[in-house]
This record gives sequence, C-alpha cells and structure tokens, in this order.
Amino acid sequence: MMRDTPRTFVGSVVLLLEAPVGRRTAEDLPAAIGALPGIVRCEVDVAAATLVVTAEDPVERADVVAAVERLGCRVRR
Amino acid sequence: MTIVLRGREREQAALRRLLDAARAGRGEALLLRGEPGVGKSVLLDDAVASAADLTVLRTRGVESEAPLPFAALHRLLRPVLGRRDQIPAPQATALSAAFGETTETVADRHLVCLATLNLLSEAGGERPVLAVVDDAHWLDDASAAALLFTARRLDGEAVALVFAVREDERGGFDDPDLPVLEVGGVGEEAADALLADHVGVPVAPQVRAELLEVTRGNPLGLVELTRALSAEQLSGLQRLPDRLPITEVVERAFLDRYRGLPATAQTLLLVAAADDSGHAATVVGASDTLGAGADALDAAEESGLLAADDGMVTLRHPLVRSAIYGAATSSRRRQVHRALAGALTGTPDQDRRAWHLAAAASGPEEEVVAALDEAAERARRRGGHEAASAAWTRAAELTLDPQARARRLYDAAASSLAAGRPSETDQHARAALADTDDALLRADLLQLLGQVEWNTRSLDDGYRIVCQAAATAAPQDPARARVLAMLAAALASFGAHRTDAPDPAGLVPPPAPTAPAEEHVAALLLEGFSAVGRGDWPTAADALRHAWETPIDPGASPLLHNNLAIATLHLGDDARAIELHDLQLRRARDASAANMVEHALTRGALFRIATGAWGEATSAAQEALLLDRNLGLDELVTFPLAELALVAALRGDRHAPRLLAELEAEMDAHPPRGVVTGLVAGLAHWAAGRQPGLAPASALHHLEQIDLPVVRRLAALDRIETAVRAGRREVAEEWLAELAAFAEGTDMAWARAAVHHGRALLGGPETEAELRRALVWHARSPRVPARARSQLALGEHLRRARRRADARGPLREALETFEALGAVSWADRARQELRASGETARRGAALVATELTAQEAQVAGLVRQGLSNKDVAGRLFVSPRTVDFHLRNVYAKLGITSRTELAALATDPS
Repeated sequence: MMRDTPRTFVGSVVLLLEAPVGRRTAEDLPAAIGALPGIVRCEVDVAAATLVVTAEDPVERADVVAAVERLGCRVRR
Repeated sequence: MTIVLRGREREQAALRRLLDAARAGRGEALLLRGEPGVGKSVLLDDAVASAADLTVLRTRGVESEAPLPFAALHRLLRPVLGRRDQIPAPQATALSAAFGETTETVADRHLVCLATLNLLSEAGGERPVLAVVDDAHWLDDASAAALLFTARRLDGEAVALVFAVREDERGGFDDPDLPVLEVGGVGEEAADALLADHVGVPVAPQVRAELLEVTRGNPLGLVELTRALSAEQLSGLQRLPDRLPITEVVERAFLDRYRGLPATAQTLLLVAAADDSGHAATVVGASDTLGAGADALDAAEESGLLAADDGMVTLRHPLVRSAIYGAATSSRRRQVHRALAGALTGTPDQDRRAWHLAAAASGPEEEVVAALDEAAERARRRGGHEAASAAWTRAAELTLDPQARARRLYDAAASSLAAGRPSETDQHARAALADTDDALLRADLLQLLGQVEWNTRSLDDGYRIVCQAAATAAPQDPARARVLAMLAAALASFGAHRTDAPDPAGLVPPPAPTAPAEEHVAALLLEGFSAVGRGDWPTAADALRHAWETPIDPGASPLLHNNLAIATLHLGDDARAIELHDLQLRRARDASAANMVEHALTRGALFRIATGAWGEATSAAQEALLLDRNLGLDELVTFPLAELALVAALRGDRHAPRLLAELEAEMDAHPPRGVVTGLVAGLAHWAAGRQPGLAPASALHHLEQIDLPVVRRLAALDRIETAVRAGRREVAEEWLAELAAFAEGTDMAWARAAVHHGRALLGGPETEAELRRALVWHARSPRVPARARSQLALGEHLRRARRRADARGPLREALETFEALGAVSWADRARQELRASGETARRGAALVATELTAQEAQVAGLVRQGLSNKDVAGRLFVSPRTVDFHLRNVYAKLGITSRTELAALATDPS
C-alpha cells in the first residue's frame, strides 16, 4: 500500500500519533472525528499517544487522518 | 549507455573503495542517503558500470509492495539461487518456502537471513559480488530484515552491499548502524554542466543562480524545473514559480507533463503508478478495461514519464508515481485498483490481487476478505510475519461481524508477536478485545497480551493478565483454563506477584478421573507450581513427580512440555532436567528453531553446572552465546554469559574476573527481561560471590543478593559456608533452616546432603558424623562437585583432628574429582590438605591451556563428531565459509592438516 492508497474500514482501528497530544487537543479529537459519518466512537490514550477510532459504517481512513491533522496532530504511517 | 556524473567525485571515490574492499574479500555495506532526485540511483548505476569484474545483483523497494514478503529479496537473489545446494539444507529449504516456491512453512526466519548471507558468501567465493538495493526505505519488512542481517555480517566476505534510502522515508533503516554516505546537492559548476547535458537551452545567469538556490543543487529538481520553465522565465524576463519543497517542485513538473497527455495515456500512467509488478501485460490489460487501448502505452512512453522494455514498464522516477497517484481522486484510484485486480485474476500473483481488491473496496466485501485471508496465510508460511499481520489487519478492517473481525485481529496480533513487534501485538489484541465477547477468544487474546507484558514490561502485570485469561476461559473450557492457570502459577513460582490477581489454583476444578492424561498433567503442574509458591514442599514434590511420570502425547501443547522441563528447576531434579531439555534440544534442532535451541541449551547447561558436567555446560553455553551473537538476539546474551562466568568462578579459573566483567557490561547494555531476570541476576551474584581472593564479608554481600529461591538452593552450600566464614552465624542458620525444610519436604538427595554438610559447617561435636551423613546422601545424587566438597571438608576435619591416615582417603577422592572438573582452587586446597596429612600429592596433570577461541573450539568439537562443514554451519547458524575459516585456524594452532588428524586427537582440543 502507498501512503494514499484507499483504505476503507469498519470496526476499530488504532492510529499512532507522531507526538503526544496536549489535554486540549485530546478533548477536541473525539468531537472532530465523531463528526465524520459512520464513526461511533473515538478514544484518545494520551499516555500512549494513540487514537482508537470505531466505525459502524465504512469510513475512509484518509478522512479520519485528515480530521486528526486538521487539529495539528500528525499520524504515523 | 555511458553515464556522465557531474560533481560526484567524493561519492564515486567512496563507492570505488567499497568495491575494492569486496574484491579483496573485506566485504562491507554502505547506505547512500539523500533527498529524492539527488542522484542516488545514478550513483548506483555508476557503481554497477564500474563493476564489470563483479557479479552484480540488483533489487529495489517498491512502496506498494510492502505487504509482499521477501518480494524484493527474491529479485535480488534470483541470479544466484542455483547455488542453493552449497548452503546448509535447512536454510535452502527455508529460502524456497520464503520465496513461495514450495508450500512448506518457514521454521524460523533466521534461516532465511542466514541463507541470504550464505548465498552471497558462496557467490562471492567464486567472483566478488556487488549487491545493490535502491529505494531500500520501501523494502517489504521481511526483505529488509534479511538484508540488514546480512549487511552487518559481511566482514571477511567478497561482497559489497549498497542501499539507497530517501532521507524522509527510512522504513527499517531509521538507525541501521551501517556506514552512511550522505548525498547532497551539486555545486555551481556541476549544475551548469548538468543543465547543458540534459536541457540544452540557454539559461540566463541570474536564473541559473536562482534555480540552484531553489533546488539546493538537487539534480532532478534542476533539470525538471528548468525544463518546465517558459522561454520568458529562462531568460529572466518573467519570475520563477513560487518556492516549494523540492519534492513538490519535481512532482509539480511531472504532473504538468502528465496533464498535457491524451486521456488514454493518463489512464495508463495512473495504472502504472498504482501497479507494483512492473509487468507490461498487467498494466496494459488493466488500462484496456478502463478504455485506454494499445496507443496509450506509446504516448506514455513518448512523454518520457515511463519506459517500456522487455515486457516491463518502469516509471521514470518514484516521484512520477507519487505525483500521478496523489493527484487522482480516491474513486478514480479505486477504479484503477479494481482494474488491476481484474488483470491479475487467474495469474499466480494472488497476493497482489488481494491487495488491489482491498484498495478498491468501498466497504466490507466477502470476496476481498477471503483473498486477504489467503494472502495472510501464505505470508505466515513464508515467514513474512509482518506481511501476514498487515493482511489480517486489512481483512479485519473489511469485516462487518465483530466476532469474525476479532478473530482476524487475533491472527494479526499473533503474527506481530512472531515478527518481534510486541507493541503492535498489544494494539491488535486490545482492539480485538473491544470487539468480541467470545470467552475463549478473549482468553487467547489475554494470553498474548500477558506474554507481551511479561517479556517486555512487567512480570507481575503479565502474571495478572494470564490469571485473567484463565478466569475468562474457565466457564467454557476448563481444560484450556487449567493450562493457562498452570502458566500463571509457573510465572508466580519464578517471582511474579500481584495481590489483586486471583489464586490460579482456585480458578478451575480438578479434571474428571476419565479426562485425558494431558489434563491431569496440567492439573498436577498447577498444583506443584502453586505449592512451590507457598513453600509447601511435600505437596510440590509429590505433584511434580506425578506429573513427570505421567506419559503425555508428544504433540500436546508446547506449554505443557516446556513447563514440565522448567518445573525440574524447582526440585533440582538434575537427571530428569537434563533428559527433558536434551529432548527439547533434539526437537528444536530438527525443526531448526533457533530460539528453542537457545532455550534448551541454556536451561540444560544450568543442571550440568550442578552435576559437574562443566565441560558440557560450557560448551552448551558457548553455543547458545554464539547463536545469540550470530543471530543478533542481543536480549538473550546475558543468560549464557552468566553461566560461563559462573563455571569459571566455580573452577577458580584465571579468566573468571574477565568473564564476570563482560557479563556485568552486557547486563547494563541489555538488561535481562521476563522470566529469566531472576535467574540471570542470581547467577551473576553467585559468580560475583565466588571470585578469587574475595574477603568473606564481600562474598557474602553478593550471595545475600540472590533473590530467586531456585538459585539460592543451587548456591546453598556456598551461601552457608560464606556466611559462617564471614562470622554471620545467624544468617547461616536461617539459610540452613530454609534448606532443611526443602530437603525434608522433597526428599531430594542433593538437598539432604547439603543440609548435613551445612550443619557440619556450623561446627560442634557432630561435625564428622554430619559430613559422613552428607556423603551417604551424596552417593544418591548426581551432584559430583558438592560430593567432592563434602569429602574435602571431611578430610580437612580429620586432618585437623590429627587423624591423618583417615583424612587421606576422602582427600584423595576429592582431589581426583576436582582435577577432573578442572576446579583449580579446590584442587589446590585438596592437594595442600593431602600434603599436610603426610601424603606427597602428585602434581595434577596440568590442564593444557587451549589456544582455540570459543568459535574454533565449537567447530573443532563438531568436526570431531564427524559433521561436515555444511552441517557444522547449519548447527551453529553460520556460513560454511566461516566454518572453513575457523577450521583452518584450528589446524594451524594444533599443527595438523586434516579433519582425520583432528578426529584422531586423543583429547578434545577445546
């Protein structure tokens, strides 16, 4: 897969963040990602710098990554 | 084609040196690192052009090929695969399986790494080899692992291995500990020459200067940006485009050219960008279904963005791929992947097809998931654990049913663990736990999580998680739960502790009387380990003996077999321990499973230290150490090193302090983890407490720090004796009482003997009687060194009581044993006592200090057993050429010329 190969998913995926997020961003992330159609849950683990995103309907991973990056966080490949 | 390089003298010189070194048999690896377009590939081409006298092998990483295990390695080695019969058979078999030529399973991925090294080594033996790996940052993980393994071991081989990586995409090359050659931009003069060579239009001087500044001398950037400029821009009448990062500058230039092409050529180029096979038939076939006919290829070729040759299509540069692919909409990309999957239907390229299908999917699709499952299974068999994990993860992402999704995530987690990526295992397993309420699957997931925890983080937390796994499985599958509870109890018996975890023994009821033997053995081990934890020795001994004596199926869970062997440590049942670990070793060797070979060697050595088979213990520990070093298993090195340091200390060897220092340095560099932590630390303290010339108080300070009861018991006699000599009678009495409770409860002969010897050390009217009782028990124990020490103690006691004639018998026996063991300091003590008792002790046969290194001694020993060089190489996980090298040194040092002479030597030269 290339960086921008389409990657639709359902269920939970774990996204690793490049750097730890601040408290404020950690609070903003669930709302920003939860707003995407199909997403039912988003949990931020500040200590582990991970994001668990759960979708009930198919969601394009790139859309989630874009939403995360709009808040200034970089997602590891 | 002649390549004219501009401004690359420094880099060319470095590559020339590398090739000359390979020609002289001093192989090395080199990493060329720089931004895209800086000219790494051209430098590689230049090196290849100057290597007409070498065998040249080439491969390239392809970004989209990451899920295809060993794909890049296969391309590299194809020209030398005919030499497979020259490398050890298990390695050759593993290589064939890794490349998908057979449907066998790769027993151990180290074998593929060794096969790679040894094939290159064999090829280099005939003609020096230049192996070139471009775009190494995009290598699939399995190829990267094998090539990095090889790169670190080229010393003495006629092989040069060159990697090129992009500085912004390191892949597995983040911190590769290889020599690096940074490739930067070119200077002004070279830039002018480049523009003259490739663009050939006049460029105004101030524009040239600005171009050089914008591109920082990046040759591809210079050429492509200049080509994209209008006549007005070139003459300086119009300003240059906005300044962008070099990658974007070049991508934009490529994209402009792409967008100027007919729609059909654009389609074909997009298909080529999404393809990773490079096969023209696949690209043309897929393009055709998207409405781009035969003329599209010609137009794409004419644009210079793609070259077609000999059935293959190649994009001009990876940035062409990223520019074109990145500019397409996601629905267009999906169409293209769907078309490529269609073109691959019915071909052998089913892994690629599965990944194209996955990229094309806009939601869960059973056909896609099934194709990914199959790809994952194939990858697992080939030893491509990362690729297997990736395919199962992707399949899970396209699975709607949470239970089925969790099952796939479990497979992904298990593959990540096999790939040595515990943090990924952790993530997949946690994601799966969120999906499934199936108790047994949850138990399996918790077991994986527990294993990651105790191996990489906390033994205590790992223990708690395994307890949770057992509790989870118990209502549905008591047999499975019992094995997990047994595992938890085993961890607890090696020091794991959590007050918030349930008692493993209380988690499952006993098996029905009619249950299979394996269930009874699990229950007995559980009972035994639990009893060990609470110091209930009669119960522990009874349960463990019963477990050992119950025959079970050789195919039963490895957890059962391994823990049966491990349990022998608790009782110090040496004979049984050696038998079980030797069986484990034979099975591991048959399967060429390097980690299990290491495990069985180090555990078996421990008991041989106790019984005085010190030569065998040393040999096993040395083999384990060599294997760890050869395979880069740094985290395992401290265990065999601790055993070597201990044997040297027990012998009173002059190398003992050096070995201890080496052990301590290694413990700092790679602290032992998981269940061996207590063992290694305990052995290290024991060895430290037995260093020559140490004052009793200092020795006691070390021996007091042995935490693990298993090691305390192995070192019992030293601990009690040292406490007495240090004037710490109360400590000696406390330790003796601990040992007496153990001896009483287990009835182990060695322990009974040690208790009597310990009582004698505390003095009193019973000294002689106690030592004689010790000797009676020693006669029933295989622990020869302990017996000789009791004989020595008895002889000393009798001599001091002026019963010199009585003293001589035990002293003579002790001396004989110590000499046979090579226990220099004890032998000296026995000799002095004998002299004091009036006997002129002969000087013991001086041990001939061997000149052989550890690896030479190993090689010599195996050749003496009749093994061929190739078999020795397979056994020691090295190359046949390395064996040959060591063997020649052995001959030179021993003054012989053949293996027949080596075999005929009366004594083992090691």
